[in-house]
Amino acid sequence: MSEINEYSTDEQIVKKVIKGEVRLFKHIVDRYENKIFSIGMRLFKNYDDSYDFTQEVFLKTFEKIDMYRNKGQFRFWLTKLAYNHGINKLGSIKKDVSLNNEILDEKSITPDKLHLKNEIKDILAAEINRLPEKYRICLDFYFFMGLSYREINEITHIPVNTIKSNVFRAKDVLLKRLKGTIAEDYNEM
Amino acid sequence: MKCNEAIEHFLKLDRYEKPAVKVRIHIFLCKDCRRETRLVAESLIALQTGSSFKLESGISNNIMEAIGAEQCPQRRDVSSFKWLFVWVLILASIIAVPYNKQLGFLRMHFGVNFELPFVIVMGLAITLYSVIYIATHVEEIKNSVSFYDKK
Ligand SMILES: [Zn+2]
Repeated sequence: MSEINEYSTDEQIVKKVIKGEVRLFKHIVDRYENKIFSIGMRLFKNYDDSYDFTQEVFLKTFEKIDMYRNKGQFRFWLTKLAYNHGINKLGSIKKDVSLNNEILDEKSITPDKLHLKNEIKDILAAEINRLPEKYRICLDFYFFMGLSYREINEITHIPVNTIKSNVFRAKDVLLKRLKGTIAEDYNEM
Repeated sequence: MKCNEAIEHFLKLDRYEKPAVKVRIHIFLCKDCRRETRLVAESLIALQTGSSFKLESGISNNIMEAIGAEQCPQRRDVSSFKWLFVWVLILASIIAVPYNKQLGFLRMHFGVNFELPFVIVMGLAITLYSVIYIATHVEEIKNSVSFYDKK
């Protein structure tokens, strides 16, 4: 019997998957499917390619899971694998859509498509979408993937200072908006 | 230290990075800053369960089906530590053998005629063992080498 539950860390789950408890891989997919799909949406800007990309990433992750040997956090390893796969796929399917292209299909950025659960997420989503497109993925990686500046830099090669200043601006806006909206309900304990 | 300076410093921190001592002291003593930094810290935690986009329906069942349908990769149950342990054991026995009484007798009797083939055979055995280990762990060795190269 495995004692894996919703509070188990990714690393604990992956360790058991490597040891042969393959069915536990489902927990990893459940935890990360929307985050990986979001990387897809940032890169391919359409649902179908992003959906295929998400499936490919998890199959690849399973195939290569032996290569993850507690080298840092699993989510960093997974993000790096997904991002690299996305960049390769992008190169092979669309030569004309560059990461520096500022125009994103408007349909895919409207707030109702973002499905962020609560107010904080909506505020951040609006802030992310105000950024030039190539930096949006940095904020996804920072806020939703929980990666550090250096980890994001290692994956995307965007300079640490650029990542830092974009994250700072987003946090600043987040705080100002939080103070103006939900702060009244927030009681000091 | 002013409140806006403390907050700016706090917002610029990386994940897991701790504020400078003077900022920590200010936050500790200032109720407003304490409230604001907590608001940010809690938001950061809350955001980690989210994503910018969402699939219309989960894909985990498809993935598990695909994994089940595929031939599951052979999982290695023998850890590198156990491999190393056996390697040391083989080496130790090679070193210990000449001290064995029976073999000591053989050696006395046959001299170099015994010792040379013995050393060659045992040398081959340990080489073969090492080759098998390397062949079955190529990816891991490659990964560890590139990991230490980066450091
Ligand atoms: Zn203050």
